[in-house]
Amino acid sequence: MTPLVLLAVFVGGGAGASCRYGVGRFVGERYGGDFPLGTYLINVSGCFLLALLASLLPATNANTTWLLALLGTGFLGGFTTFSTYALEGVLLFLDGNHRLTVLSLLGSIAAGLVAAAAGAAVARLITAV
Amino acid sequence: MRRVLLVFLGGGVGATLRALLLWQLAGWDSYLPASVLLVNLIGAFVLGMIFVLADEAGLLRAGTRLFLAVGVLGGFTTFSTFGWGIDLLVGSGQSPAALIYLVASVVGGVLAVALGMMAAREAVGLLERGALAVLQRLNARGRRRFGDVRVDMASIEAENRDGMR
Repeated sequence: MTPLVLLAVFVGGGAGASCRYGVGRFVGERYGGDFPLGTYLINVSGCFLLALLASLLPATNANTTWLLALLGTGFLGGFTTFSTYALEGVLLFLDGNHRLTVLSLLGSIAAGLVAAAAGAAVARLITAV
Repeated sequence: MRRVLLVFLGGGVGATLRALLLWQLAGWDSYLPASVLLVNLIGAFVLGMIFVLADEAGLLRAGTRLFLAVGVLGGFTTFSTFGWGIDLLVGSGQSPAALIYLVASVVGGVLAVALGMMAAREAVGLLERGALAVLQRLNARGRRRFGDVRVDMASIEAENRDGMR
């Protein structure tokens, strides 16, 4: 792990976290419900984009290591979040909102898996052209 | 703008820590991405603590909370690597490992948040009892030195109000 790769992760992670903050506030100002919609949309779209990126840029190619570090490990890793997802699930449960707890915890994963499969499929379409 | 900068710096620090830890623990990942699982569980535990310290006990300033919760821990933990990792396991015919990874992440994440909250409540209780014990000692020492002093609460409250303006 070279200093350049670490710098790419730092810059990408900072940019991804800033985008998550922006999207979270944008959604929070427009959606008044109890479901953690911002985190859900962020995590599902991040799964799609990571599958697309990782399928297009194989980790074995040394020339694109820094790009994968910047966009994948950095930006998409920093954009999506597991800790907030888990915290929001627990807070929904503590509020007695059990239906939304399950919907958030399992719905995020189900949608994330479908989104990642879709990202990989789109990558196959692109490379086939 | 200051808030976006705090999130950017926190996210950069968190993502870099994650990259270093995943790189160190890469040897663990022969059956399932245990390194990613560990990173996410650690992050969930610490975020549970920060939630209690900031939102229940009011011990963290808004900027500190933003830097740590949205920045560092949001950047440290990752959902995309987790989701893509499950698809990769299923795609390579390792569905049992994928299922174990999924259940351990969800159940473990929820438990880690709950444990972090409990640990932080315990810590806040210890701090409060410690602070109370110190104040009681100081009070007893003051009484020994100066005797019972009649305190004019009305004038102290008036001073506090002036100070807050």
